[in-house]
Amino acid sequence: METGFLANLNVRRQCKEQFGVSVLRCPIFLFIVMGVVVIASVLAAYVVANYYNANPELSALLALATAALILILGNIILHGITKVVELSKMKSQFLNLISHQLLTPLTALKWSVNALETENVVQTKAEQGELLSIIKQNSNVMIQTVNTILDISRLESGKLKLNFEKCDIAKVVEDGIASHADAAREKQSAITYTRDPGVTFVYADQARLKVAVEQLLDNAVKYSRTGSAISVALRMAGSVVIFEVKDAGAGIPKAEHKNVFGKFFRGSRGMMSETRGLGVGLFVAKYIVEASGGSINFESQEGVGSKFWFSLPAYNK
Amino acid sequence: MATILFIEDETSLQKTLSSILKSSGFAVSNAYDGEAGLAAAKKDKPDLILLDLILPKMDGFAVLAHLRAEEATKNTPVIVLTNLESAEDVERVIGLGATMYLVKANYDLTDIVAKIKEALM
Repeated sequence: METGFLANLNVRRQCKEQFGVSVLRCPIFLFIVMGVVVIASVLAAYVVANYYNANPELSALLALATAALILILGNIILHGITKVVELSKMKSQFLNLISHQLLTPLTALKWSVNALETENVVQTKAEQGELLSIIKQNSNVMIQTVNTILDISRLESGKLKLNFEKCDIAKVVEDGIASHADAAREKQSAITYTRDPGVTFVYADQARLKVAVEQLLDNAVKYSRTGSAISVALRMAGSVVIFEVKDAGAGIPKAEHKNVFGKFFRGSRGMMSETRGLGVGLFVAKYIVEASGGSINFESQEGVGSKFWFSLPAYNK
Repeated sequence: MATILFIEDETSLQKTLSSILKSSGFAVSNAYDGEAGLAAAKKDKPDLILLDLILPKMDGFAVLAHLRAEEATKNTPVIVLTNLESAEDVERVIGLGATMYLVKANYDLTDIVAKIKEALM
C-alpha cells in the first residue's frame, strides 16, 4: 500500500480515485505532460538557436510549433476538466435522484404506519394485510435501491465479485416475468414468452443474472405503451443462450443510442414524466453480462419500440 | 360530503392516503397519470385536487397549468403533494396557481387531512 509522497506519485491511481476518469483525460497527467513539453521545447529552442544562429527562421518556426503544441495540449486539458465537471454534475444529479427514489418508499412506509396507528382507518383484517404488504414491498424497494448503489460503487472500484455457478436461466426469466406481471397488467400490456426446448443452463452469478434479466423486463414494462405487447424469448444460438425482450414503447432517439449503456442514462423522457429507476440499470446489466463472458446489445426506433438482448455461454461442464 | 381527486402514480401512496381520507368523511377518486387526472378533474369537478408532480404521460406542472386554464377547474383548490422540494419547483408551482405545496415525506397523514380541511374552508 503506497502512502504519503509515494501515493502522490501514482498518477494513474490519483486520476481514478480523485477524478474518476482515465489517465489520458485526467488533468493531473495532462498538466505533467504539458510541463514536460514546455521544458523540452524551451531547451530544444535554446539548442537550435545556438546551432543555427545563422537561420533565425528555424528558431522562429520551432517557437511557433511549440506554441501550437501547447495550444493543442491546452485544449485536451480543457476537455479533461470539462469531463470531470460533467461527471461531478452527473453524480450530484444521481444523488438527487437517489434521494427521491428513497423518499417515495419511505413516505409509503410512514403513511402505512400512520394509517395502522390512526383510529378508525383500518376496519378489517384485509385492510390491515394490505398495509402490511405495502410496508413489505416498499422495504424491499429500498433494499434493492441501496444494493444497486453499493453495486455501482463496488463496480467502479473494481470490487464487485461475481460468484459463478450453474444457473437455470429459464427459471430466472420465468420468475422475472411473474414478478412483472402486476406492473404489466396495470398498463394493460401482455407479456408473451417463448422458450426453445433446447435452452440449457448458463454459468453465471445467479443473483446478478436475476438483476440483469429484471432490468431488461423492467424497462420493457416501464416504457411500453398502454395496451401494447411485450415479447420475451429464450433461445439457443450455437453454444450461447440468448435472452431477448421486445417492447412496443417510446423507443430511444438515435442521438441517445451511444449512451444507453452509460451510467445515469435515463433518456430524454426526462425525470418529470418518469418516476422510477436510477438510470444505472443497463450499465450494471452490461457489466454483469460481459463479466460472465456474454454480450449485450439493442435495437431501437423512436416511437416504434426497443429490442434488448444478451447472450451468455451455455453451461457445459 | 366533499369530493377529492387524488392524482398520484404510486399505488401504495394512493391506498394509504385514500384510506384516511375516506375514514375522515371525504369521497375520494383516484387517477394514476397526468392525462387521466386532468380528464377526471374536468368530468367530475371535485371540490379539491391532490396533485403529484412526477407523473407518467403528463407531469404535474402541465396538469396544474391546464386546470387553471379551464373554466370548470380554474378555482378548484389544488394541493401539490410531492417529494420534490427545490425552491425552483415550489416557486414554479405557486406561480402556476397551486393552493398549497406539501412535501409528502414531511407530513403525517393526519397533518395532510388538516391541511385539506384548511384549504376547503
